Order: sequence, then C-alpha cells, then structure tokens
Amino acid sequence: MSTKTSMLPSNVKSSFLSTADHYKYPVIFLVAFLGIWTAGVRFYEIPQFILPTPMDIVMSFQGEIGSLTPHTQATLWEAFFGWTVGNLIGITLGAVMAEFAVLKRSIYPYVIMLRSLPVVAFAPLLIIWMGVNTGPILAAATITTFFPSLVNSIAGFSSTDQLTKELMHSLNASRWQVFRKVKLYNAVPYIFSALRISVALAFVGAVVGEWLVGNQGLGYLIIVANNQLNTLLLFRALIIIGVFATAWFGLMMFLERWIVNWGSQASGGATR
Amino acid sequence: MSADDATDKSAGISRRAQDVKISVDSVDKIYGMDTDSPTQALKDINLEIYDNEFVSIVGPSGCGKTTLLKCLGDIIPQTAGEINVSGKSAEEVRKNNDLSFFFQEDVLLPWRSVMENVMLPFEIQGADTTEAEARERAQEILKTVGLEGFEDHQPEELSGGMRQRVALARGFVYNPEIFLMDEPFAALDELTRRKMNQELLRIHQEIQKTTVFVTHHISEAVWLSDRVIVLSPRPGEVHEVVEIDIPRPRDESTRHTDAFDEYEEYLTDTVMELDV
Repeated sequence: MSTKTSMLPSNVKSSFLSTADHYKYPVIFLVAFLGIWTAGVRFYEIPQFILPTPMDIVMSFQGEIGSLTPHTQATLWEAFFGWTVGNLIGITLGAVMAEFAVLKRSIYPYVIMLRSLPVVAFAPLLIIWMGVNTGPILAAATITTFFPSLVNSIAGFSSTDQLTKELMHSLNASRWQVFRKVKLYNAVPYIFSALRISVALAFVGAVVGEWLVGNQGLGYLIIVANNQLNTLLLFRALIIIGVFATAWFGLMMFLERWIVNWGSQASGGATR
Repeated sequence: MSADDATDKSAGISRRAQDVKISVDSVDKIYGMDTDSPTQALKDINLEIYDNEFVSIVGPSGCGKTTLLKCLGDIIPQTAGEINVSGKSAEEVRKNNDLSFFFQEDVLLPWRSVMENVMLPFEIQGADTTEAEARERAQEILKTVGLEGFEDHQPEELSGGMRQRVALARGFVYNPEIFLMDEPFAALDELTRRKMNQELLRIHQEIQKTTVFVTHHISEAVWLSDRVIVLSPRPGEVHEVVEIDIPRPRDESTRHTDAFDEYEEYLTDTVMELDV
C-alpha cells in the first residue's frame, strides 16, 4: 500500500504529515502526563519511596546498568523461551485441530475453559512438579503464551471461506494442497496476531514465575525492591520490561507488514 | 421433450453432432435429510446436454439453479439419480480434471499475482505439461481475456471486472471437457457484464466447449445460449426448455434483433409467472 502512495510527491507529503499527526497526540499526552505527575509529586511533597518523579527514575539508571543487565537477560530469556515454545506448540496444535474436526470438537471447550484460568493458579502445581528452579518460570511463560496462540491458530486455520474450498475441490486438490496453498496463507494474519498478543503475556508469565521461585530476573528485582521499599528500583524494572515488550511487539508488527503483503493484515481478530 | 425439440430444428454451428455430453437422470437433491425439516431443492431433474452446446439455466431465486450446477460439478452430492458426462460419473470427471467450475465471485487467492492465480490449476493438477508450457498457455489465455501486461499485478490492484477476467482465465487455462459457470458475472455492473458476455461469446466460439451457465439475467441467457432451461422453484423442477434459434456467431447486433426481443420477453414472462 505504501509503495502505491509513495509514487506521487503530494501523497508522500501527506503521508508524512499523517505520520506526524499519528505521533502528535501520543507525544502531547505523554508530556502532559509526565508534567502532571511531576507537579503533583512536588506540590504534595510526596516522599520518593512512595512516588518518585519521572526525572528521579530516569536519573536513577545512572551507574545501575551493569547490575541490571543480568536480571534483564534472565527475564528476556524466560519470556523468549515461553513465547517461542508456547507459540510453536499452540500454532502447530491449532493447525492440527482445525484440520481434524473431531479433535477440535472434543478439545476446544476445555481449551476455552483452561485459558480463562490465571497462570498464578497453575504456579503452585508447577513448583510441585518441577521443583524450585527455573523450570516453573519457563513453564509459566509457555502456558500464558500457549492458550491465546492456540485459539488464534484454530481461528486462522479455520478461516478459509466456503467458495475457496469449493474452488480447490473442483480442481481436485488434495487435503495437503488445500492446507499448504490456501489455509496456511489465510492463517498467517491470525498467527501474527497471536505472536503480538503473546509478547506481553510471555513477560507476565516470566515475572509471575520469578515472583514465586526466582532468584534473579526483573520479576525477582520487583520483589526485592518491594521488600526494601526501593521504589526507584521497582520503576527501573518496570520500565525495562515495558521497553523490551514494546520493541518486541513493534518488531512483530513490522514483520507482519513485510510478510502479509496481500492486504489482510490485522484481519486476524485479536481474540485472546 | 427437450431433446426432440433440439433435433428437429436447424441448429447453430455448435450443434454439429447430437452426441449427448452430459446426461442428468432423475436427480433429486434434498438438504437436511437428517434434520426435522428436510427441504427438497431438486426434484426429478432429467436433462441431456449436447457436445459443444451452451446451455443456460434460469429461474426465480430459490429454484435450485446453483444446486443443480454444483451437483453436475460434484461439489455437492445429489440425493438420488445419476449424472453422467461422456459415460463417466461427475466424480470421475472432476477427479480427472475434466471439468472447470466458475463461481459467483472471482475467488482469487489474494497473496498470488495474476499469473500465479492463473497457474493454480496446473500446480494443483500436476499437469503433464512442463512449467514453461504451462506458463505459455497461461500467457495466451490472459491475452485472450484482455489482461496482457497485468501478469505481475496483485488481485487487490485490479477492478472487479478485471478480477473476474482473471477468474475466467484460471478456469479456461486447462483443458477440461465441460465448463460449469455459476453466475460468474453476478457481482459486476451492467456495462462490465455486457463486455464479459461478449468476451464469453467470443471464447466459446473459439474453443467450443460444452458449457452449462447459471444466471438470473434473462438477456444474458438468450444472448449466450443454444438452449435455455427454465427451472421452477420449491422444489426445483425442469419447467421448460427453450431452444434459442439465433444463428452464430452472435455479437452486439444480435441483441437488437426481433428474435432476441421475443425470446427475452417470452422467458421473462415464463420466469415471472413461476416466481410467486
């Protein structure tokens, strides 16, 4: 789409303007938000351990990067592991379930039931089964990723319309050909939807896991900060999670735009 | 009765031989057999369609036109009766890649270019042609439907009429024995439809293939067909078969003849009476 508009100079200009427009409001909002925050803290003389100013938080990173790095790496690895494994299993199983109606009909109701349970509810079980180590953390991140991924994948692999199926049937296409040449493509936007949604969820799983059994990682840091009333540290951990999750999410959006170039991005509804 | 009528009259050039190509014998179709309220869509359909003939099926909505065509194409199974194409069952014909089905919508795969969409049948059917031959054939047919130079375009870049022409090219690219067309121009505006009709007339003239064409557009049916089959609704039954005795080749001027007007009026009245 962008290639079409960029052929005309006037359109380039207008698309540039609309990009500026696009960012204008979020930026204004952010500045206003930080301003009110700072003014509020100053005006009511709120102590730093309850609510530091944004500037305090940013400045507090100074000299702390070295000590934050291993924790960041640990959490990133856990989230990445959970995201990768959860999506791999979720997408594959979704494809299989969408292809075999009996399987879908027998399992799907339970999937819906299970995915509404919060991961915290699984955590004690995971610890009993896997012990106090990184196992339960990786499992928690995997489980939080898995369910939305599975649900999206089933929806995606089932999204091929009746007429297209009839066309393939009239051409005497084999089941495998229908899957590979049609269903797979129709599933791609849904798969990307799953990959995007599950970034945040993988971090949730990793952080919750660290709360329960971690001895390092940003979730672990949050607990430590909480015990020490070290509010600055707590905010630093939150900001790092936010930055990496957003960048990761953005990378997925970029990949989707690059790969799904047939004008059906984001049609994969953000079911979760 | 229809078959006798057909043999009596002096026919257009497509009626060289009276070989029966498609025979439909006592076909019933009942939807929802396993439910409390089954509906009979087709009842005791008997038809003979000749080699190289262009036959249209018209009738009020709900008369089972599309159902009948989909039975012919082995897309849905009939409940009773037999369908034969050159002595083979509809299923054998489909599995042998001897039929080409055209749908109400273009059903293009949006992630494929125009060329890749037209090549789809070769890919699926693993035709015994080489890649280069297949490409050449696709190129040729794209030229026939007036899409030369659009090979690398994506479907979303094309107008509705152009997309429908890609769909036609995809259906014409391989070499089946029969064409089954389910209101392929229904989604088009009147002007584009007219152009596509001309296109189809010309293509039929050129490749002479047995064609069954479903439409609710009477003048389209008269213009294109050797015979028009009128179905009555609920359940769908053959009400009348009308021979269109207008010589071929036909063109735009055909539409302005008295014969054309008479057929159109007669068929319109017939269909309207059936549509209660």
